Amino acid sequence: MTTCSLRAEGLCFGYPGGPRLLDGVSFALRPGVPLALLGPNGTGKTTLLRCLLGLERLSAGRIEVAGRDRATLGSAASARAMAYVPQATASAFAFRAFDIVLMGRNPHLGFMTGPDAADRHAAEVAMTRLAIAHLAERTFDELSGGERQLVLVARALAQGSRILVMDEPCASLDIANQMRIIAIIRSLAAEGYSILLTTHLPDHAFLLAAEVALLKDGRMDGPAPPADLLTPAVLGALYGTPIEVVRVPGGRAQGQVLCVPVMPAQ
Amino acid sequence: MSNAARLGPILGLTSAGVLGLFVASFAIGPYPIAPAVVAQVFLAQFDLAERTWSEAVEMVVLDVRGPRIAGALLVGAALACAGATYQNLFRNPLVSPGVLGVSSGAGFGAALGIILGMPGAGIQGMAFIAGLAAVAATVWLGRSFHRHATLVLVVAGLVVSAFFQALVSLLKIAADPLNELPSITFWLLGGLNRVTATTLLAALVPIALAGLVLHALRWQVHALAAGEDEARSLGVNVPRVRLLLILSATLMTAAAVSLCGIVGWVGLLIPHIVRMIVGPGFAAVLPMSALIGGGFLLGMDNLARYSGTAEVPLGILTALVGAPFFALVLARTRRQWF
Repeated sequence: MTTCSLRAEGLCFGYPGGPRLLDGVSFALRPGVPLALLGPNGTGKTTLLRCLLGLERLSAGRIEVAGRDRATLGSAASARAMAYVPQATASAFAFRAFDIVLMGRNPHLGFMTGPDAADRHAAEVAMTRLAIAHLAERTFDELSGGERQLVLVARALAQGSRILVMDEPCASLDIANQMRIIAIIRSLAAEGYSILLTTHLPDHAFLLAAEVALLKDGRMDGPAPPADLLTPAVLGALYGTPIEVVRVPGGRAQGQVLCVPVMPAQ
Repeated sequence: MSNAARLGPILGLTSAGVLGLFVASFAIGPYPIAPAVVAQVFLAQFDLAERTWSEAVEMVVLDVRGPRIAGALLVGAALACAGATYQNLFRNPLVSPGVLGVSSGAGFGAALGIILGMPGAGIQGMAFIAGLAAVAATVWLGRSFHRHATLVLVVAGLVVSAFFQALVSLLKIAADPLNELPSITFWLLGGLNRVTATTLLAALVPIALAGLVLHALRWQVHALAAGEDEARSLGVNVPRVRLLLILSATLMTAAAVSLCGIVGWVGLLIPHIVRMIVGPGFAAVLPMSALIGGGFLLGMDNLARYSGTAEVPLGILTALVGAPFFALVLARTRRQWF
């Protein structure tokens, strides 16, 4: 087993006056193995990401990033270790795509100095890597949802962090763009990135050749291989609706797994 | 190709334009001095030109018109940079030192300083403290009502502004009608006609200091445009940056208000015009705001001086020109900058 890049131990968190969203969550994230986080709406998937990114203050628990306690890392140091890919729908502003990708270089900038040629090069490399170099001069508010998501992934790559935290990277994308993002996540994982993502589609965990973890009632199940964890019984209990897991002939030799909600009989 | 490559020529052209306006401004007034003479007077200070003009010309350039013209550039630059900073900080295109109540607060502080018979630095300090109190009150009031609404912050600023204006009215009643009252009234109207080399320098130091802080933070503010959470994930120490921004922008405003009273509209209008030219990136908006803001206020002050024997107060002119211009800019801006 490869060494883990991100380790969470006994994380506890709840918003003031609300339920305890995280109640002793522990897991480890490894390079090359994307971890897909599943759970019904409102179970705290995004909250868990926010805690990992240091945007919320834990009531208990410890986060280790590349062997160091997260709490001891400064703002820039933790941004160099871990990058965040938000949902593309969250912001729509008039920056050029290139300038948004270049923002990823922020934790590398020196005192008083702006991005230099090397930083611009890193941004160009990141955009070329995702085949969006042609979008550089377009402004963010002109881009489609899929293009925006790719720009935000490119920003995370330009950031130079080996840990990527993605909040529903496939949300509000059409099917072709979903497959495109999944292919990119697979190839980034193959390059040794450690990737944690949330999703509402259990199928994606299978497609990613990933590990999967389930979050419900403040507890986490997994991480485990999708085939072990994502059974009809477990999924049905997780979402509270009957779900069938079926295998269809697909592009790959062993076919493709689909998780299909079954409409209950009237 | 990149923004930085485009910004160079734009900054150069704008600087040249402002420099031209600076030299041309000496030709306005009852004792016009030709731009060529002005240039030579300045060059002669560094022994780069022969003195061929009268003492009177040198005095008008260096002691009378010079401080006033430099003061217009300085105050315009300070208010525009403060406005751009507040707009980026609150991600709110409708705020400015005036809208947030900082100008009224600083005006009250300065007026209180005058009544208490304080020296120049004391008046500036009072303006800074009262300006900080005003922005703190506006932010607190806005947050306690609704955390993220654009208009609520504007309304909160209105409330705080009205409160400080009422305090100033109280001071006016208490003020000595012979000496203090005219001073305070002058502050409220805004004007550069009393600027001297000494008061100019006293304002330049805090404004330059605050400008340097904003310059150092420009890329952090740039990243802040992505939203607070994303900025933090990009390595911005948001609480620290936010505090430094509020302190710097308020210090700039307070120093400007202490120098020439309350001059509205510059801080609201100029950053919008600048974004139309260079886009929303703060690293480009900050220096351009300083240049365009300085040039704009100098143009307005020239108009004030040109308008005849009874000078129109600067604050009235900036409102007369700024308000309709801002309405036009707002109507044409379909972009979401933040």
